[in-house]
Amino acid sequence: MSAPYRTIAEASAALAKGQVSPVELVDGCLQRIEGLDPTLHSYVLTLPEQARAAAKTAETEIRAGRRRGPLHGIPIALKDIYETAGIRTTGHSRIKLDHVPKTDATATRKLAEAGTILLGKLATHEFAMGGPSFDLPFPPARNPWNPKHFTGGSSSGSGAAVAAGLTLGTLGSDTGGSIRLPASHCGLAGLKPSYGRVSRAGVFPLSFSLDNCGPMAWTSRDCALLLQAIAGPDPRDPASVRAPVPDYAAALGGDLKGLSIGVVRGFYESDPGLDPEVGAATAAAIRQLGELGARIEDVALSPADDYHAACVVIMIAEAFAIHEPTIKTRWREYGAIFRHRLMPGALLSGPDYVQATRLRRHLALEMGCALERHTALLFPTSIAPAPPIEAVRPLAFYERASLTTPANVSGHPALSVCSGYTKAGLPMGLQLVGRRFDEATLLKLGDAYERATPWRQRRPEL
Amino acid sequence: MTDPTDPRAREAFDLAIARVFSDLPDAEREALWECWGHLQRWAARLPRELPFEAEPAHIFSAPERQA
Repeated sequence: MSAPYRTIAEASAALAKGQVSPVELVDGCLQRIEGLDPTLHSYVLTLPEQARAAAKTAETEIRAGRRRGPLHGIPIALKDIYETAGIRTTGHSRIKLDHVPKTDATATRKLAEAGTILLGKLATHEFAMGGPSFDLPFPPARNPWNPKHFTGGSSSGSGAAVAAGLTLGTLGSDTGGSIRLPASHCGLAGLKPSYGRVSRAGVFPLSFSLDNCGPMAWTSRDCALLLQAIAGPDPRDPASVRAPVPDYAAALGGDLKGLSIGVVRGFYESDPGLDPEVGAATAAAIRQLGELGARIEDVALSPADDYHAACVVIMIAEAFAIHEPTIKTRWREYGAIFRHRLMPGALLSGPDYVQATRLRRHLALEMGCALERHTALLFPTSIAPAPPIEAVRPLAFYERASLTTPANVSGHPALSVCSGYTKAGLPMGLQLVGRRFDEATLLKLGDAYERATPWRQRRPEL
Repeated sequence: MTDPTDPRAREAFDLAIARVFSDLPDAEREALWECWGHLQRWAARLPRELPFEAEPAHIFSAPERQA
């Protein structure tokens, strides 16, 4: 089953030239969903009638010369923690199974105003934490590169749906890596913006001070187009920041001369769990970025365990506070992985939480100092490719430090791009962490790397 | 950090968790005990002797919010 357009940018150019209509794009995605999603389980809800009606409206507007911009007529889907007015939003949980919001999340609204067409709502780990779970109202999403393997999470359906061509772009959320890990395991680009860059209003919270909303798509360029539509201040989100929003797509292109990349080898090279193929792909990517003109140097930071300790304690304390009224009385209705991770949060102390936020300040300053000397920091998104779904340990997040948590702790933007494929055909991911509110440079680095490597030409055989 | 073989630590955990969740079956309490051991390991890594003036990170104290 072939996908006519791989990327938002390609489809957008074709729409602008009248070579394809929004109706054809939407029908193409819906046909693929019908054919492939019974295996992949990436959607928890599809909206075929609504999507076709919106596509016809977009077609009329574009033909009449009222094209709103590059996203007008582009089919997208949302992780099922983004509230959608009049459309069920469950968080992939029994707790919210009948929840129909009255209003859109800010990001939902902004994407609609940009002219995107909502195909449906995507699978997630329950309330964006803990999975894959087999005891929830919907099955866990499967990896299109090998459906026996894990997608990564928590934006699991987002990763699967983009990789399989069941949508052209999605929004995920990232509290400890939930955009970047599925992007890595499913072979996509995924951007966790700077904390405060994108409004989280109307998105189910997991951890107020760590949560971020951001795009997942096939390329960095597509992420730039999606970010353009959702970035900016929002009075509904107290963490939202009034930082200028540049033209992200305009920042792409050119060479990388004058940019400096700091490689944080201490995060991964001596880790006994580092998959040799991931190590080799990361080394090759570093060479490639150097050949594109970037200056490469090594950087030392505190151990990844320190970042993870701050992240785990803050996340579980804040998440427990959010779910406390419900989980005390309805714990049986949550999935086992979510509740087992969350419920011990009741026993964390006030000083535990405060000490974690004090450590966080030290770590954020440390990373900020490193980013004064370098344009970006580099390390793998994950030390290993996606494991078989049955082999994922329920407490994996607790058992060892993740390489995605440092950017949540520090608040810096972080991009994952595909860095190649294992011999078994599973994608690997490279992570770039940038200066606060400088997503544009991260996207430029990711785009340059993607154009210089063959990885964007390969798609899962489905 | 909790020693999983220390019966006093287990007893203290059982009492504390029962104050929050009064109706837990044994299997559920066992699963939470395992998770609590992991969570305590991360909490034990946090520095406990920072100087008085070492303030926490705060979402409203980031440099871009100072203007």
